[in-house]
Amino acid sequence: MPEPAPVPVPPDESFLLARARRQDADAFEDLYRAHHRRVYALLLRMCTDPVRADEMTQDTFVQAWKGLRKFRGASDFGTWLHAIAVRVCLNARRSERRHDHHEMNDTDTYAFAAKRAMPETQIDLERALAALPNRAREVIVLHDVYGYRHGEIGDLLGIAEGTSKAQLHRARGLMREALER
Amino acid sequence: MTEQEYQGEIADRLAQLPVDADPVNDLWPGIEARVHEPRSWQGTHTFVQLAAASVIFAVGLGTGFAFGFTRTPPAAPQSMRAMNLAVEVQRTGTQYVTALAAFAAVVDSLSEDVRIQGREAAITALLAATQEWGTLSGTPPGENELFKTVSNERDQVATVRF
Repeated sequence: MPEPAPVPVPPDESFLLARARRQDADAFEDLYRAHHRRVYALLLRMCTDPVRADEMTQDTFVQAWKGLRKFRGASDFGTWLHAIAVRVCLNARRSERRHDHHEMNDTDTYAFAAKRAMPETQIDLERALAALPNRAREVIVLHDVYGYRHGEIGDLLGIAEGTSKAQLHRARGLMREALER
Repeated sequence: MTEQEYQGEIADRLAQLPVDADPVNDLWPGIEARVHEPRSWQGTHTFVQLAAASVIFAVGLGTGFAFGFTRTPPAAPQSMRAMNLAVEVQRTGTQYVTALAAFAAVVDSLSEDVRIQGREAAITALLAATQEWGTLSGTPPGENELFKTVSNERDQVATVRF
């Protein structure tokens, strides 16, 4: 009887990180494969535009590659990537405001993109999230979907902890109105 | 239900949402192209690099004054142009799939004519994509099975219509 094929064991993340810090792009690709789906989901929900989410995901990983030497492992690598992703999103939004860029506000198109990318998601919730004002959406996505605490959200978004709490309350209220409609 | 209970319920529902999503395209090739770009402004020799850049800038400026400025922009390196085109392909691919998903979601409520038009538009774009795929992968036109399959499907759509 032939022996079953060995199950590939994913390489230890710290080992991959050490290799990636030495400019090993293959190791970095493994890190990308392990983390890109979560980063993409976060960015898709924050910017509600699948094309921009593609670009921002790429920007996030390029910045991570360039800053790998600064990553000392004080936080989880995924958390560090999220922080970069949020910064990329906020910077892009600032730049778009400066250039009078109109954001895609078509909640239906976003909801379909979200359903395609996350088939098990709840489309009514995604649509209600997409309809929120940017800051309220950022806070509720980070807090309620990704489980960040208000202090952490304050650090990520550059706002006071109290502002994060107020935005969360506002966001949930607006979600309620949207879902009851 | 009180306001607090409702807020709790929304939080509970949001906590159940998936936290991972699949992009339409593989984003790694675009990242890979960028991580292989030279890291010109990093490392421990930044000061030396800045000084060298200043010298190069000054020499360039002097040369410009000496020989007169030209309004013609320098041609982009071929690799940069290819990368930009690849990014554009990826961007339009994502837009195409998103538009198709939006169309597919409302298709039941449309008249038969509009549905046929939508299918035709989608399959024509697919056909063009398979043709380009053949060129990119170096497959001779007569051996592009992907193109032949989609072409047959497109013919069937056209047959149904006419």
